[in-house]
Amino acid sequence: MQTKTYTIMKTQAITQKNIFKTLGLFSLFMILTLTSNTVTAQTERTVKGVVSDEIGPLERATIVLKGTNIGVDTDEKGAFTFPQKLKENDKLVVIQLGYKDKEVTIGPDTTFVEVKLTDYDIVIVGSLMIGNNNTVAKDPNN
Amino acid sequence: MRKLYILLLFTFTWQLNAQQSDFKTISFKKADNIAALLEGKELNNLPLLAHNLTYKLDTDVERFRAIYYWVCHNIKNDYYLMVKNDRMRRKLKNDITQLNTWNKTFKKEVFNKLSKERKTLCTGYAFLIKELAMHAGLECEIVNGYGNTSNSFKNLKMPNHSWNVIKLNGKWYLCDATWSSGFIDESYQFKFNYNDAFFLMEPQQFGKNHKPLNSKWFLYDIQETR
Repeated sequence: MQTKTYTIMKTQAITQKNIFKTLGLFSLFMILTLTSNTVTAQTERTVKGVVSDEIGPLERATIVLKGTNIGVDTDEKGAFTFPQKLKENDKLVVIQLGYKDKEVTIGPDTTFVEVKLTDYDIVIVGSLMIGNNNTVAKDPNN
Repeated sequence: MRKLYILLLFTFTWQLNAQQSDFKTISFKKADNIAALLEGKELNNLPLLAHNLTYKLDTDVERFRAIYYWVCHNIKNDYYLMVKNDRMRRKLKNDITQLNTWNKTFKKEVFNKLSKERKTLCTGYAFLIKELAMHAGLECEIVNGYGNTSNSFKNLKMPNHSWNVIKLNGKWYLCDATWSSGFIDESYQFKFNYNDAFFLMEPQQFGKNHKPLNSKWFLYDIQETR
């Protein structure tokens, strides 16, 4: 009977010791990951870039920080400087009329981005309405 | 059986006449007012423009109406752009490679002009309608083909016009924002003059001066009536 109790107590002691050990390691791990994350996340920097298509630079393309109203347009050389400092994993959305939107994720040390947009596969045609368009609807033979 | 037949007939005729009158119980006043309030807005952020045009409206047809009305009242038709493209496309019509190169360069010029000056030709209108509709969650396509105001297609050797089809309540409808927006006067200047007739026009009427390259976009059985 006595021996049995002793064995149980010993096992409990060992388990408790193990728990403390695991907890200790876990908290150390947590502290390490959390602090390292904060360190990288805090390095905010100015991001510049250039937007182009297969022919050349794109003027007046809009760059917006995803989820915000903060943005900037490219100049005549397709260049921009983002008005707010950016950090890792921020996402920029590049919009230009006639082109497909593109999303760019800021890396750990991105300071310059080159964005190439692809245009829509459409054929430009054109016809016009000469004279008052109201007459056409009423009489297509006109 | 007879009842079923009548029902079928009814469904068929209803399908045949997809047009603005399908929505006669809905007033477009609110949609038109929203579009009017947003007059002069820039085109550099289409998702935002589409949102502002549509978020207060309850039905798809009203949302599309606001988009259509805005485009027709804010985008000008550029006569010289049209002439330039038309001349070049005629000249290069037998040279596919050169025609494609021309299209690429010209496309850039077209979109630049649209974004800077809000001036374009029909493909620009159709593109803008499609993009805004897409951002508002609507299914819309660009249709290329022949457009003629004189009801004769025989002189047209190349596609010269673009318009849209829009899916509302599971059904396709036709519209032409270019021809709704206004006209070119005698001095080749564009004049805004909104014409509601081309908004969800009855397909057979629309087909009188719009001949799509893909005949399914006539939206009616052409064998039956021609």
